[in-house]
Amino acid sequence: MTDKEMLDLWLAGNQDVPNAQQYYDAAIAELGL
Amino acid sequence: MIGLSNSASTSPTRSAGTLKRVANIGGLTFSSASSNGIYSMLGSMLATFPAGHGFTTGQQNIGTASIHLKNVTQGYTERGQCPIHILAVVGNTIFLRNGASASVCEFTDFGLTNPAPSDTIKTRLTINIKGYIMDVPFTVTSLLS
Repeated sequence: MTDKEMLDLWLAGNQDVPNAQQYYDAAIAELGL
Repeated sequence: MIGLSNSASTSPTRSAGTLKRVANIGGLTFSSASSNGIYSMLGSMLATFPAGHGFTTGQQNIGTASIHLKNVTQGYTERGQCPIHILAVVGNTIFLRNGASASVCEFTDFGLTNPAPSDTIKTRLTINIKGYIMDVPFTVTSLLS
Protein backbone atom coordinates (compact mmCIF):
# COMPACT_ATOMS: atom_id res chain seq x y z
CA MET A 1 0.00 0.00 0.00
CA THR A 2 1.43 3.37 -1.01
CA ASP A 3 1.77 6.42 1.21
CA LYS A 4 -1.08 8.09 -0.66
CA GLU A 5 -3.32 5.07 -0.23
CA MET A 6 -2.58 5.13 3.49
CA LEU A 7 -3.54 8.80 3.67
CA ASP A 8 -6.65 8.21 1.54
CA LEU A 9 -7.65 5.47 3.95
CA TRP A 10 -7.17 7.76 6.93
CA LEU A 11 -9.22 10.54 5.35
CA ALA A 12 -12.04 8.20 4.38
CA GLY A 13 -12.31 6.94 7.94
CA ASN A 14 -12.02 10.32 9.62
CA GLN A 15 -14.45 12.54 7.77
CA ASP A 16 -15.95 13.62 11.06
CA VAL A 17 -12.64 14.96 12.36
CA PRO A 18 -12.40 18.77 12.25
CA ASN A 19 -9.89 19.91 9.63
CA ALA A 20 -9.35 16.35 8.39
CA GLN A 21 -9.06 17.53 4.80
CA GLN A 22 -6.44 20.14 5.79
CA TYR A 23 -4.36 17.53 7.62
CA TYR A 24 -4.61 15.29 4.58
CA ASP A 25 -3.68 18.06 2.13
CA ALA A 26 -0.70 19.10 4.25
CA ALA A 27 0.59 15.54 4.39
CA ILE A 28 0.17 15.10 0.65
CA ALA A 29 2.16 18.30 0.11
CA GLU A 30 4.83 17.18 2.59
CA LEU A 31 5.25 13.93 0.68
CA GLY A 32 5.24 15.73 -2.65
CA LEU A 33 2.37 13.66 -3.95
CA MET B 1 24.21 -11.56 66.34
CA ILE B 2 23.02 -9.84 63.23
CA GLY B 3 22.41 -6.16 63.43
CA LEU B 4 19.82 -4.60 61.25
CA SER B 5 19.65 -0.94 60.58
CA ASN B 6 16.46 0.15 58.96
CA SER B 7 15.66 3.60 57.78
CA ALA B 8 12.45 4.97 56.47
CA SER B 9 12.21 4.83 52.72
CA THR B 10 10.30 7.03 50.38
CA SER B 11 7.91 5.79 47.76
CA PRO B 12 9.05 6.10 44.19
CA THR B 13 7.40 8.97 42.43
CA ARG B 14 6.74 9.68 38.81
CA SER B 15 8.01 12.97 37.57
CA ALA B 16 5.22 14.80 35.82
CA GLY B 17 7.65 16.26 33.34
CA THR B 18 9.31 13.01 32.27
CA LEU B 19 6.90 11.88 29.58
CA LYS B 20 5.63 14.18 26.88
CA ARG B 21 1.99 13.87 26.01
CA VAL B 22 0.74 12.89 22.57
CA ALA B 23 -2.89 13.53 21.62
CA ASN B 24 -4.79 11.43 19.07
CA ILE B 25 -6.58 13.16 16.24
CA GLY B 26 -9.39 11.02 14.95
CA GLY B 27 -9.29 7.26 14.84
CA LEU B 28 -7.26 4.41 13.47
CA THR B 29 -8.04 3.37 9.92
CA PHE B 30 -7.15 -0.11 8.84
CA SER B 31 -6.79 -1.94 5.61
CA SER B 32 -7.19 -5.61 6.41
CA ALA B 33 -6.66 -7.02 2.96
CA SER B 34 -6.29 -10.63 1.96
CA SER B 35 -3.99 -12.19 -0.59
CA ASN B 36 -4.81 -15.85 -1.15
CA GLY B 37 -6.42 -15.99 2.27
CA ILE B 38 -3.47 -14.39 4.08
CA TYR B 39 -4.55 -11.16 5.73
CA SER B 40 -2.38 -8.09 6.16
CA MET B 41 -2.93 -5.32 8.68
CA LEU B 42 -1.94 -1.81 7.71
CA GLY B 43 -3.07 1.12 9.78
CA SER B 44 -2.68 4.88 9.70
CA MET B 45 -3.13 7.29 12.58
CA LEU B 46 -2.73 10.99 13.26
CA ALA B 47 -1.50 12.53 16.48
CA THR B 48 -0.28 15.84 17.84
CA PHE B 49 3.18 15.81 19.35
CA PRO B 50 4.72 18.49 21.55
CA ALA B 51 6.83 21.18 19.91
CA GLY B 52 10.44 20.20 19.39
CA HIS B 53 9.67 16.52 18.79
CA GLY B 54 12.41 16.17 16.19
CA PHE B 55 10.70 13.49 14.10
CA THR B 56 10.99 13.58 10.31
CA THR B 57 8.87 12.37 7.42
CA GLY B 58 9.59 8.77 6.53
CA GLN B 59 11.42 8.01 9.77
CA GLN B 60 11.30 4.31 10.53
CA ASN B 61 10.86 2.36 13.74
CA ILE B 62 10.18 5.23 16.11
CA GLY B 63 8.39 2.91 18.48
CA THR B 64 6.09 -0.04 18.75
CA ALA B 65 2.40 -0.67 19.02
CA SER B 66 0.97 -3.23 21.37
CA ILE B 67 -1.94 -4.89 19.60
CA HIS B 68 -4.99 -6.17 21.43
CA LEU B 69 -7.20 -8.01 18.98
CA LYS B 70 -10.59 -9.52 19.62
CA ASN B 71 -11.98 -11.76 16.91
CA VAL B 72 -15.67 -11.38 17.66
CA THR B 73 -16.72 -14.02 15.11
CA GLN B 74 -14.28 -16.71 16.18
CA GLY B 75 -14.48 -15.80 19.87
CA TYR B 76 -10.85 -15.33 20.79
CA THR B 77 -8.67 -12.53 22.04
CA GLU B 78 -4.95 -12.25 21.50
CA ARG B 79 -2.08 -9.83 21.74
CA GLY B 80 0.67 -8.93 19.33
CA GLN B 81 3.14 -6.21 18.55
CA CYS B 82 4.22 -4.23 15.50
CA PRO B 83 6.70 -1.46 14.69
CA ILE B 84 5.53 2.12 14.23
CA HIS B 85 6.85 4.35 11.47
CA ILE B 86 6.24 7.95 10.45
CA LEU B 87 4.27 8.54 7.30
CA ALA B 88 4.40 12.34 7.23
CA VAL B 89 5.29 15.15 9.60
CA VAL B 90 3.32 18.37 9.30
CA GLY B 91 4.53 20.64 12.06
CA ASN B 92 3.45 19.07 15.31
CA THR B 93 0.88 16.81 13.71
CA ILE B 94 2.29 13.49 12.59
CA PHE B 95 0.77 10.72 10.53
CA LEU B 96 1.87 7.36 11.87
CA ARG B 97 1.64 3.97 10.22
CA ASN B 98 2.29 0.46 11.36
CA GLY B 99 3.93 -0.79 8.18
CA ALA B 100 6.61 0.48 5.85
CA SER B 101 5.44 1.53 2.40
CA ALA B 102 6.36 -1.48 0.37
CA SER B 103 6.27 -4.17 3.01
CA VAL B 104 3.58 -6.70 3.64
CA CYS B 105 2.42 -6.77 7.23
CA GLU B 106 0.64 -10.03 7.71
CA PHE B 107 -1.26 -10.79 10.90
CA THR B 108 1.18 -13.59 11.61
CA ASP B 109 4.11 -11.15 11.33
CA PHE B 110 2.66 -9.39 14.36
CA GLY B 111 2.11 -12.55 16.38
CA LEU B 112 -1.58 -12.77 15.51
CA THR B 113 -3.69 -15.58 14.10
CA ASN B 114 -4.60 -15.20 10.44
CA PRO B 115 -8.35 -14.49 10.46
CA ALA B 116 -11.01 -15.85 8.12
CA PRO B 117 -13.19 -14.03 5.58
CA SER B 118 -16.28 -12.42 7.14
CA ASP B 119 -14.70 -12.30 10.59
CA THR B 120 -15.37 -9.19 12.63
CA ILE B 121 -12.31 -8.07 14.54
CA LYS B 122 -11.86 -5.33 17.09
CA THR B 123 -8.33 -3.97 17.19
CA ARG B 124 -6.76 -1.71 19.76
CA LEU B 125 -3.31 -0.25 19.24
CA THR B 126 -1.42 1.20 22.16
CA ILE B 127 1.47 3.23 20.85
CA ASN B 128 4.74 3.10 22.75
CA ILE B 129 7.31 5.74 21.82
CA LYS B 130 10.19 6.31 24.18
CA GLY B 131 9.76 9.57 26.07
CA TYR B 132 6.10 10.00 25.12
CA ILE B 133 2.76 8.97 26.50
CA MET B 134 -0.37 8.77 24.39
CA ASP B 135 -3.71 9.91 25.75
CA VAL B 136 -5.74 6.88 24.67
CA PRO B 137 -5.18 3.84 22.45
CA PHE B 138 -6.35 3.82 18.85
CA THR B 139 -9.25 1.45 18.21
CA VAL B 140 -11.12 0.17 15.18
CA THR B 141 -13.68 -2.50 14.35
CA SER B 142 -13.34 -4.24 10.98
CA LEU B 143 -15.48 -6.66 9.01
CA LEU B 144 -13.13 -8.67 6.85
CA SER B 145 -14.00 -9.31 3.24
